[in-house]
Amino acid sequence: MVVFVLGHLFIMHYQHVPASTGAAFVGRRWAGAAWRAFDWVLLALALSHGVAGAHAVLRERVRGPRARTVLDGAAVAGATIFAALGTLAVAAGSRAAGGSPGPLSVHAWIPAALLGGLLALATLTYLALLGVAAAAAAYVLRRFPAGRWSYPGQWAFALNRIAGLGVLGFLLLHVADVAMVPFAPDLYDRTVAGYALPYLAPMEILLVTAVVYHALNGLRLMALEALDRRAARAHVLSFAVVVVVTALLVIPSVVVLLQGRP
Amino acid sequence: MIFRVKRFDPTCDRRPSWRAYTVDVRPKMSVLDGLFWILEHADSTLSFRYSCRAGMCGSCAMVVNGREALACRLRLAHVAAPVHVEPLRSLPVIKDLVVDMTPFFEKYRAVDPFYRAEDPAVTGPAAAPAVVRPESRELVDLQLGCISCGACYSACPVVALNPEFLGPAALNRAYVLSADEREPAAGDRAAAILGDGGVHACHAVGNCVAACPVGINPLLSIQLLRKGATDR
Repeated sequence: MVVFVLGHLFIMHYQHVPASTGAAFVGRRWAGAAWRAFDWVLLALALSHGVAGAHAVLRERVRGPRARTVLDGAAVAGATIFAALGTLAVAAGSRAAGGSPGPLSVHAWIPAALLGGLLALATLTYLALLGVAAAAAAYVLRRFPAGRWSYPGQWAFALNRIAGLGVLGFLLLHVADVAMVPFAPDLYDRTVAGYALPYLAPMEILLVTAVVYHALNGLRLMALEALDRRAARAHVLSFAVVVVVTALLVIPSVVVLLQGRP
Repeated sequence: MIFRVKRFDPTCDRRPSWRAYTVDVRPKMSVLDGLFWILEHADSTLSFRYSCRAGMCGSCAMVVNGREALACRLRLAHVAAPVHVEPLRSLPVIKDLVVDMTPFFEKYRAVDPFYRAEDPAVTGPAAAPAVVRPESRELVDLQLGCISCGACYSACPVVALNPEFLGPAALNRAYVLSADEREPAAGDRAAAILGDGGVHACHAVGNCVAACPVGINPLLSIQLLRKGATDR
């Protein structure tokens, strides 16, 4: 999954900027069966991983068998709906032609709703980031007790969750917007053009950061578990390595973003 | 040195509050000594728990400047001022720095934390002395010294988020017993280890490793249980 995710990220955020990847770009890519297979496998892996992760996070807070059954059902239903939507788009995608109207083009509210969702997600992400910055400032200034933030593992854990939930939120919006490619290419272009809003620029950088960090941190945890006693005290060092490597990998995408934005 | 102590008496307070005390610090004083100074010179109503004062009983585990520690072992020379002292987290406060350890020990009990060599061939009157390979004890002995102070339980964010999670100490105990070659198969303990609150609920945060005052690595025990290292 890491290979598929980082491959997709490289194409969308290192070779191109998202605002320039309209329906024509997606249509060209989906003209070949290999890319469609790539995107479908990515969709299946990312969606199942994301929904399972969010389900695990929510299950910690939801008590009682009835509430948990509702949660389980909602997770399965949500994953099924978005998997079906994405599969439909990938299957029908080769018909896309940039800028031209499709059968759903009359529904002009769709791009506005998707952009609204993206702006809301960006706002939530910025607030979460402010929360993390406040925790860091409190730790540095020692104005009040640092909570569990004095443990490096707490940072790794919190960042992993924030990154995972943020990426899942974006993934769901992304599946919904890509589903417009075959059925309303003009609306898809309008949605993608909205990505160029200056307010969303930090969100794009944070998205890349979140994906890279979440992937590397997952690999880190797998490696630590595989090595068990040979890496018994390597948690802090390996977290530091993940943070540094994430920063190094994100820098080129920031350069691409700043150069490529209109 | 300024001490800020989290005070709370559930019988009369609505919520916890921080109270500051200026402690006359002498060389080699520990955090526990600082609390005694407050008790004797500033506020005789302060409650805290202690017993051995030698880092062996685990009674004086509390949170000092955001990290779990044994107050008797932590020298003030190694603590940044102001010293924030709080009770252990994820446990109900009885008063001030004294917490009710019942939830901790209930979860501990859930893993059947007793040595049960029920196989008569191993422990019966006619049984030959059990042969224990030294290499099988290598890791078990390292993980055996838990003093049940609750520091790892308090430091674990998963315990705070997921009340079903048994916690690092209980699962470490489960590993120590399950890895004991003299014990029969895990039996009932396996259900707890693999259940909703068992090893698969751990997110490998690692706070327990950093918090343990006696140097145990509960996360390693959890990882080994998860990998089936104790399957027989």
